[in-house]
Amino acid sequence: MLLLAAVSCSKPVKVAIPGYEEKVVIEGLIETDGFPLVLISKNKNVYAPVSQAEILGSYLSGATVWVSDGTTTIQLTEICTDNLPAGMDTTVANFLGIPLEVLNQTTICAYVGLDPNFKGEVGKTYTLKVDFEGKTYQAASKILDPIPLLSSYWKEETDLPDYGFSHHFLQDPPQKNNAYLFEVKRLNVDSTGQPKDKRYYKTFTPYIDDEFFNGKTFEFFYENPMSYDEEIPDAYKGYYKRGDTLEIKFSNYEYNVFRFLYAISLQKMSGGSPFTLPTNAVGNIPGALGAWIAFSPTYSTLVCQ
Amino acid sequence: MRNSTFLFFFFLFQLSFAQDSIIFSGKVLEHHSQQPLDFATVSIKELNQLVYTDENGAFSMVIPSGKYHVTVQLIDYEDYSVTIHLKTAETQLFYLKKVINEESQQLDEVKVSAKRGQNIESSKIGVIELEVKDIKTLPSFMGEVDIIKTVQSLPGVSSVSEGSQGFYVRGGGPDQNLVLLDGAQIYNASHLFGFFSVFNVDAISSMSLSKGGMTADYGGRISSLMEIKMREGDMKRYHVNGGIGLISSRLEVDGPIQKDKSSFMVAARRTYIDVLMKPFLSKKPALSGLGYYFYDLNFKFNFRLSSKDRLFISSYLGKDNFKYSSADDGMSVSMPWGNQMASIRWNHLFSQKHFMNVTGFYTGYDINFSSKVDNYDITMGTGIRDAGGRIDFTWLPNIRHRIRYGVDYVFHRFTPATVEAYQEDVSFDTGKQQRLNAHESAVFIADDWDITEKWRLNIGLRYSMYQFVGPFDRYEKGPVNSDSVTHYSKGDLIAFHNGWEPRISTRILLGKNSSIKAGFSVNYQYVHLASLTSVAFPSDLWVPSTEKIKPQSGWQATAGYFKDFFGGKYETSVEIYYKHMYNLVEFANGSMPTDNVNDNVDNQLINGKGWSYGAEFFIKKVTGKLTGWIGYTWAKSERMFPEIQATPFPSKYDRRHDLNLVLNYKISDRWTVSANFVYATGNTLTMPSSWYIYNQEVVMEYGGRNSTRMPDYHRLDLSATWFDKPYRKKTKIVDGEEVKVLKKIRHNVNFSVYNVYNRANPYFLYLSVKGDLTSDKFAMSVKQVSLFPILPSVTWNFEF
Repeated sequence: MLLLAAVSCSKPVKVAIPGYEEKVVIEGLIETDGFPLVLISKNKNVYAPVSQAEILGSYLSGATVWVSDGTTTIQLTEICTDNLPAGMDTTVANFLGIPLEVLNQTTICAYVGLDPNFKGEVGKTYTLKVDFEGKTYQAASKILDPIPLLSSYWKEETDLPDYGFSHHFLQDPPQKNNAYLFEVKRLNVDSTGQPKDKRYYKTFTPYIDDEFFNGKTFEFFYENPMSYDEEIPDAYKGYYKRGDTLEIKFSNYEYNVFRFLYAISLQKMSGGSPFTLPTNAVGNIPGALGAWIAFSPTYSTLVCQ
Repeated sequence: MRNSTFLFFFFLFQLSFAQDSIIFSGKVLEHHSQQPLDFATVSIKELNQLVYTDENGAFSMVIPSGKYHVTVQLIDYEDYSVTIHLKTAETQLFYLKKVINEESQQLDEVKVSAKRGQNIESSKIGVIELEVKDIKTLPSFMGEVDIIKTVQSLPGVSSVSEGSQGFYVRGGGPDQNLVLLDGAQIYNASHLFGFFSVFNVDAISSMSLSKGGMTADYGGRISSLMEIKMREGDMKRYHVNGGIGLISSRLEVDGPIQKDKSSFMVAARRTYIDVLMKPFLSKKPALSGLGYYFYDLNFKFNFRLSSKDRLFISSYLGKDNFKYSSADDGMSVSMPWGNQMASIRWNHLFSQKHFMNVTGFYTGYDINFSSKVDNYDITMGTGIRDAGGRIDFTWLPNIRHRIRYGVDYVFHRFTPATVEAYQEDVSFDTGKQQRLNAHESAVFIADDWDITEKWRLNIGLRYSMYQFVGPFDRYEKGPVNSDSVTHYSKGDLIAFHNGWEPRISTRILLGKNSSIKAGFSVNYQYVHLASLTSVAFPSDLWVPSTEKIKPQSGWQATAGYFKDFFGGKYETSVEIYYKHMYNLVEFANGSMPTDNVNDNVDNQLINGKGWSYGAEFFIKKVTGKLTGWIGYTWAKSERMFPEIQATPFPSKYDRRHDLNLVLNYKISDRWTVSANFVYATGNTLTMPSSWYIYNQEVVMEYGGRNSTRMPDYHRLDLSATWFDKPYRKKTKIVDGEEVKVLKKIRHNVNFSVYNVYNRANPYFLYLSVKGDLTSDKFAMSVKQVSLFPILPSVTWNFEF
């Protein structure tokens, strides 16, 4: 690939790409101690306009959404950004990582379970049901037992003092097909006193399964994904700085959910290259794109020193 | 009474035939090297009979005894005529001298094919034959002329794109071509992802490609047979050939080991891209650790053991080696791949009518990948090794029959994927390394039968068998955590496949200058190339037929009209074909590269079927100052894999239009110019037809398989070749006469320009996504990646 990259060039072209068919996309999740959240959108033609307003306006209203844990069923509440309670707009803008004025120019709708007695519990299977535009979509997902990291440490690079990667140990259970997601954020505050990172970020290859290390104690390391968006010299990108405090969110997923998320991750890595098989991310919602995902995160803190 | 009279006269007729008819046979050899010359004509004027010599230079005809004027002819060689009084069965050796006058020298340099008359005479349909000397003046790519690239400019044969290895015959896949180098299979005939073939032109003498259905003596592939012969060393003199090009150099040495008894040929080629690029890459830190080269080594030994026995030993070793290292990132990558092959062939003549070839061979192809990042080590490999043999006989019972029969056998050992990974003292579970073993064998018989003077029939039958045997572990994938493994011990028969493979082709002469031909063939193929990528790549996996994956099979029907014009100066043909293929192999949707760990590769493969049809038009100018050809193909190739898509979809090799123009013009004795133009409908590929947002990331949703067609491909290449004067003048001391003497050292310089008008041809398309999804800089577009702009090159060739 490197060799080909050295001799190749690229240019935009417009060719006919047949096969576009409008589909509903359902993005639903529930985590341990969390409320269920569902976003509904539609897929877009590759030549469709991609302005910021149009992308943000993709999340649709008008659906009726239920979630059940087998004994209790709740209907989720539709919340749109044009009808947020006072003060909530800033929080939502921060969550989405967009300026407040952009949020005010569009309408983003989500379906949220607000029942304080209905939060994700380990060991329960949650069923999703969505009625939208005359069709019904259903899926189920289970919150598995959490598998925490054994330990973590920060290792300084020998040729880059005060900078290094985060290293982690995992004891994988003896059962096969355990699957994980690694996310991280820094708890440091910036010069204004606000947290540096307002949400968790995924690393470059955040989804892993135990195909290669089933039942073993395994050490791995990750780069600092936030650093790539920062205005710092390239030489420091990818590293945590001495003094950074990290909060690691390490989640355990069902294997079919992992396959869906891993396919998305492979797509991102391959960047449409012909050296990979065209692979669609196949979710667990018949008739719709996307997935309904239940997962069990564990949290740990690492001080880089 | 009438019956008795008839039988009496019939008996008399048979008796007189038996008394007067004799078998006249022999061989035609090159005068100096004593190498056999094929496709020489041996004609008897008084009987108006003509036969061609075979690849051993042998011929045979049944004629009445008598005194005849026999003429032996072959283009580039002086005619040889002799009057022979044939009373009993006679075996004659004819030696032809190469023409050395300037007129024929010109012919030698510009002709496209020496095999005149074959266009309409041969019963084979869809056969392309090339001699290496014919392509040396054609435009080269980065200084390297290439026999496979030349073949790809002929109708019915194509490459998928620049940078894609293999070649594609009449809508078939790259694994459906049997490529034999001196009788041993070459599994990956490409270097540098398909930019060059593994065949060093200095080490090769000729190539033939059967695309219209191979004869019964070969099998194992359902699309085509490419036979490549290595040069044999001269038994009388030493020769050195070589060339220094832009990115590679090559050298070939041949000559006698023991004069008139044995000879050798050694050839080597190596690229020096790594050396040339180093100063440029060192300026870019990210690329400074990049290195790539390939090399080829060819050996051939030829022993004349007796007047009836010859022994040929051939070997080839080729390797590509890609390396990348970055001290800053603590990373190093190495990826070597290549072929190894050795064959030995004993040619024995029981008589001039009956001879035998016994061949033993070994061939292997491996690709390995190793990477080290900090304290992580990973090595991966895949490959195939074959060992086998073949005994084939040729029997010429009379002038009308040429019968070939024999058996062949090959033992395959596949390594679909081996992975080893370590992190200091922790060894990752990468599954048990699988070695898959299989026996493949066949018996065959074929007859090239001249039913009448005008009607020739090549009819044959092949029966092939295949056994997939242990040791082997079969993984049965159940629900999560419920996999089971079935173990087979060494030699256990796990699967048996077999099939009858009838082959028939026929030619009917329509007057002196035209013929019609038709053919039908059935083929079985027991090995498959499975690709996880959209383009053929060296890392593609060779996998055997198993109890889950059935052998590929296919049938092809083809017909054509062939006509020569102006005494054979122009050869033309129109061929149509239909090919149907069963049990083709693809990875199932959603297969991922790591899925074969603790699993069998074939658990991810699915079977489907395919079909292709088309028409090929070909005009070739054989002699004169201007030679070359125009080929046009209209074709369609589709696949049906219900588990991938409910409806048929175009194959990766589907090209509606394919036009090739190759011209070679001799301006003078010193200069020849050539041009090569190609136009082809764009290739198909699978592109995302839509996208959606999931968890603030863009997710592609791919449309129909191969439903997008890339822009059309077209390109013009030009070249000019300068030759030094072949002769020097010398004055005879005795009488002062000035004569021309062939120079001992000759050389030429080839100047080539690839892609003259700098067309940005598509290599692949991709959906480019830039910027953060929630930012106002987010952009999405379809982009085309192109590989080679205009590329000039110069190559200096020499021989002495």
